[in-house]
Amino acid sequence: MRAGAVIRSVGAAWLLFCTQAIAGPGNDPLSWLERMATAMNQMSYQGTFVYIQGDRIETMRITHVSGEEGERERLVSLSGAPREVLRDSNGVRWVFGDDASILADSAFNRTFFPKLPDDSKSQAGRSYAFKFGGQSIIAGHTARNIKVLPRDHYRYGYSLWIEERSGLLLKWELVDTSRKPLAKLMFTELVLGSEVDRAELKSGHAKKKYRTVETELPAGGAAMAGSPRWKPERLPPGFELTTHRYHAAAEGAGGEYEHLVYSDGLTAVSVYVESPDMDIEHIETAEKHGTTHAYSCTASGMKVTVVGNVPAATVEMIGRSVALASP
Amino acid sequence: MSKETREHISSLMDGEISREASRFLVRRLGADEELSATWARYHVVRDCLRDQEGGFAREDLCTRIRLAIDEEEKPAAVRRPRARGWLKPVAGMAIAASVALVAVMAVDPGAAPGVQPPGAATESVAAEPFSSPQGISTSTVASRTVSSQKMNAYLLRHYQATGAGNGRNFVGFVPVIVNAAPSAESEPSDKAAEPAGGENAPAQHPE
Repeated sequence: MRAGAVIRSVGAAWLLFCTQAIAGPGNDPLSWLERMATAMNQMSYQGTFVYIQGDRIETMRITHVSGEEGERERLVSLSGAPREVLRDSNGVRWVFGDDASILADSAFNRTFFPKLPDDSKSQAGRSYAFKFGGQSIIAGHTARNIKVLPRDHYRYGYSLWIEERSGLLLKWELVDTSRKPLAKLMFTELVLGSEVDRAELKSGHAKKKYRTVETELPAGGAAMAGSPRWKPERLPPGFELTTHRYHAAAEGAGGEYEHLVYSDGLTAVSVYVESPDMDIEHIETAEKHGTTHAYSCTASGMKVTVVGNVPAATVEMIGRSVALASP
Repeated sequence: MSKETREHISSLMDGEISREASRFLVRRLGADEELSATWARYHVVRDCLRDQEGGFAREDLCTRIRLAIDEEEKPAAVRRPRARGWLKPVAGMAIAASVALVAVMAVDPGAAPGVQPPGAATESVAAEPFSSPQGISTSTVASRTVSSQKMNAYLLRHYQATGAGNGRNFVGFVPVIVNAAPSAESEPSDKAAEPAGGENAPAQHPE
């Protein structure tokens, strides 16, 4: 009798263990997203993927190495004009092979800005619904589909295929507010860990003479008592100020600059407020760069530019409402 | 396979390779199985995906890939898409390479056991409550662009500041790369494609 009880207890414990092991990151889609974010930053991986947006198809290669020197990453186009993005502890360089130039933002230090809040579960949950999809085999890996569905029209949705064991992102779809796909990214080949060829981190243009162009955006300093000098008076539900940097105007001259970042827990919008260049006529403009929208206007004599991977209406609404913050 | 070789294959497909290099590469394609498989894989990617409608026509894409496989397997057979069981052993090196790619791109969720069919996803999305943007003008914005260098600076800093974008990984930088291509210069926003909300429309934000 006693032996039977022991066997039953051991059996129950083993069943519980197996259940938890199979569950992996858990039955909560958000925990899968958190695991993905960690894996994409902390693992070393290398692969080729296809990116599709409308009638554009790009083949690209990513090499990401995470080690004692921090993260190093090289994203390079394999088709069309030669382009690269290099990221490491020295910042980000955007290499344009066609005109042999590099856009650098050395004034920016990643540590100036904290990462978007890790404790974003509840925040994101207010703006999105999260659901499990099915399983797929992608680039030889088993992936679980997570659907991120926007609760309103201010933001896009996502469909993500996450590798079950590592948590790496294997496939990504961006869908608009009408659930129409806007862009898709799929790995066709992916290796992990020691299989990563670190030689590919080196820029293909390293030996050539490229001219480096600085962004000329000020770095900005510590936030003023935590309060932005400028801010939008209207924001989509769920968006909160994540951080901001401020650069005061020189005495008797322009040069005032403020960068505010608002996030809904998953996506983010940058608001730039600057002293206008008097030599340039500033008009209201709306632009689309890939799936990223930008809106620019003037407000109270300042130039306002809003950038984000959100619908055009969202950046426009935010940009139009920017005003000097109440003291 | 080296990075240079992959780039050469890609350049060859794009017609952006010198005649001499092209001849050399084509000779290698005839002798190098791995190279040939990569060549075939790249073509399947491009050919299948270029035929999409509105960005992604999943069914069309799946059908095309299945048809291509059927064509290779049974040259005399009637071309007919199969709803299930298409991912079976196939003959031929190019097809073997293609199958790997097909697994990447064209696994029809509806055809695989235990996988949610596409319709279900659509329904689940449609079941979500959506609200209208609040007070957004659909009018009006001039379509002249900010200087490209300045805009590139804004974009670069934005992607850095936000941890490289969605999912906080390299994906956020991909539009940067795409945008840098000559044919993808900044374009005016397509206002008509964006959600329309009347001025002062009530905001809804259900939990």
